[in-house]
Amino acid sequence: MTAYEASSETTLSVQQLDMRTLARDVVRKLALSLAGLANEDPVVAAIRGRESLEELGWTGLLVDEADGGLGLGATERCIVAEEIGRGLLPVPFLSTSVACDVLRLLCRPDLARPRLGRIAEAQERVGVVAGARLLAPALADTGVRAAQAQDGSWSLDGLASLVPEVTGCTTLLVLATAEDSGTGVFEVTAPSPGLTVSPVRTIDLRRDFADVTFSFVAAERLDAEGIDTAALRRAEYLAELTLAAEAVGGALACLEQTITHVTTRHQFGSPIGSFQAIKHRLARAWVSIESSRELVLAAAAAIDDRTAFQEELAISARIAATSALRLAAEEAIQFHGGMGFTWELGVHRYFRRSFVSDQILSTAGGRADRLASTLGV
Amino acid sequence: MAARMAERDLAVARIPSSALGPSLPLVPDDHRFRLEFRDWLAENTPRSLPAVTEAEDFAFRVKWQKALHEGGWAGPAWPVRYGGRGSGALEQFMYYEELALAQAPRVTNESGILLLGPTLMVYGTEEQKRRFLPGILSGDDIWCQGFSEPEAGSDLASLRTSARETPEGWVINGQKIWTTWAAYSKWCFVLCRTESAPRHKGLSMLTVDMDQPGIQVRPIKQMSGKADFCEVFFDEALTPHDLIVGGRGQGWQVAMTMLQFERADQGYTDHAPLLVTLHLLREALGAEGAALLPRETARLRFADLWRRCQQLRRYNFRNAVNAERGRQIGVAASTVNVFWSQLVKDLAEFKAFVYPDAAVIDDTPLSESLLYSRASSIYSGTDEIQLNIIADRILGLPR
Repeated sequence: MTAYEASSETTLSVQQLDMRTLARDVVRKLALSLAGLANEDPVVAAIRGRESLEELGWTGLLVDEADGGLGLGATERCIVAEEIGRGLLPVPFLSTSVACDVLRLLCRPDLARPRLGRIAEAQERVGVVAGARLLAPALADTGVRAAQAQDGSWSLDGLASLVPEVTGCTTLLVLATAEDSGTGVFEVTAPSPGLTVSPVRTIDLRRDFADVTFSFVAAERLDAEGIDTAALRRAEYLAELTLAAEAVGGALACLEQTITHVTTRHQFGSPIGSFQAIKHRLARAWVSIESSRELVLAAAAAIDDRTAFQEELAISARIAATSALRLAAEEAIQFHGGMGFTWELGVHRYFRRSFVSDQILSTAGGRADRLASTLGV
Repeated sequence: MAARMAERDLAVARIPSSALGPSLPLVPDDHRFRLEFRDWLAENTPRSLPAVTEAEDFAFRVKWQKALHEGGWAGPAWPVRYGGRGSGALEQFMYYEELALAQAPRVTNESGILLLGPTLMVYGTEEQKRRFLPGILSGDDIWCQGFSEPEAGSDLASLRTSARETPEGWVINGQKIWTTWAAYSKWCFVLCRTESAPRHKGLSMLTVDMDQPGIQVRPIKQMSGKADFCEVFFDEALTPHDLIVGGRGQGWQVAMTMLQFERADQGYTDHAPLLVTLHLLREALGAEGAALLPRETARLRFADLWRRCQQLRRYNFRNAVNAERGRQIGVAASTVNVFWSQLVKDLAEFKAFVYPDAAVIDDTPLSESLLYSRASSIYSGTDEIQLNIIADRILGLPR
């Protein structure tokens, strides 16, 4: 084990460290079979990725034990997300996590619990649709309108663009705006008449995206006619934290691959990693990654321990981890020289991930603004 | 002017614990150790800082040191038998947080308490311990650290100051530099060359009385305008045979032990003053005088600094947990140092942003702290040395 591997062991329990080892092992094996698919077709990879997640029994990681899941906390969620991010695995862990949060936090318990059970049992493939930014603008304008007929039934109309990880879903949880009762969570079965899920090929080939259009699609309302703002914010920052952990994993992968390269690549009679121009920049990348990883764990611990500052720390973690991934990916490309720019080497995939991830769920400016607001300034 | 007044007025009450961020496991806000120290600080923290001459300021800090000692709160990490509290890393973590929240003056005699004292406990003779330890802790004997030389900075092992053994004792010749508070120190511990062996093999650690004709101290005026550092000249300076620490030729080993104590301390104490400063700046932003500041920039910069301070605090916390469990902090301190040094600079600039006029006036605490912040990436190991350490010892890059 490298020196930096041991670094975060202090604050994790034995079980959590075992979880990391297991997750890393699983991800490494899966990455071999899924990576090739993703290069060809992100949609095919996404479907295979979802099946893999189900085969592992990982759809129920975050579902409460009472509902048939493993009931893991925020720390474990981050451990798994970090490993998935490390391997750039095209599995819908993010959307599955968000779906569980939306059900648990925003929906009526009597409606949520059986659905959570079906997610855990892999009987349903659930994705979340909440506009291009996943959840963030949901309260203001989701882009999808919900209308209620005389008989009380609901239908959805509108467009949500660039929705992550909904390929192959059998059920969509849609954040939609109802004229009288505000934003709600609406369940739509896929396929359904009037529902179109059109894959969009983004530059991140390891995560599937789609434009989802609704033309008077029949839906069931799952919330109690009005969503609690605090609960929505919580669902959002849990998603931000998941993305943060994923980014840390990707950044570590970039760093490790680059260290291996600069240690073995010789120029001027020396390994290029012995040159300070390279050493110092990699050391700075390390400082950025390591301090972000700690913040992810701090946010997760605050959430698990129910202390103050959960939201502030989670958003902070996302801000820090996003820039760590960008830096690590850029340095990985640079220090591999010409090879770094080739398709073959593959470090570009982390750059692609960093660029696209930076834009989903929230934007950099939105996160900075939100952190300031949450801190009360 | 109003802004300057405001800054001073704020420096009175205890800052709420929430200024530091979340209550952490193992060191929660209501930890018994914190509450006990908090009570003592509420009663004993001097409430006004006399911003006068440097000498008076130093005397004020010595007085504060003595007060801490009388209250039993000086040197918490020292073993009980030497007058300390025997605190582990987690208690030290809380100790420095509470000091910062109380807006207490900076402690003094750091070279003695943090460096020489613990080192004497490891390498000192019984006589040395009996003679020096009490005065270090009480603040009666102020110590300074004679390590760096004009030609030996980051490359410490190349130092040239020499000592030769004579019937009267060790006779020392040479020059030290960047010696903090040497002008106010009674004693100096000097790393010097006593053996013919090359580099680090030929060094010994001597303790030397500063009050003698063979020693001259010349303060160095810094870019901040103050003079915390000095040059120290040794011209046939004398110290008795028995004041060598750790034996002849053992100086490098003794010095490295000492630097570990220094790193350990830095490893989990440096976030609290930054967070307190940030808290005060936030209050200032809410004050009337701040209405003219560009609002959006102010809040985004505040949030960015808060986030980075939380990263630092969490990292320090982890190091404290590691140290409490008996693990070496070692190289992790380098990561802290690099992260911290830029944060210090950026926080100082934010302070100048909040107090735009006062920050440019010469000889104010504000302008001085802005200028002084430029030292953060230089002292106690330059950023470049820390990055080398990270690259070599954490990342395992080829040398």
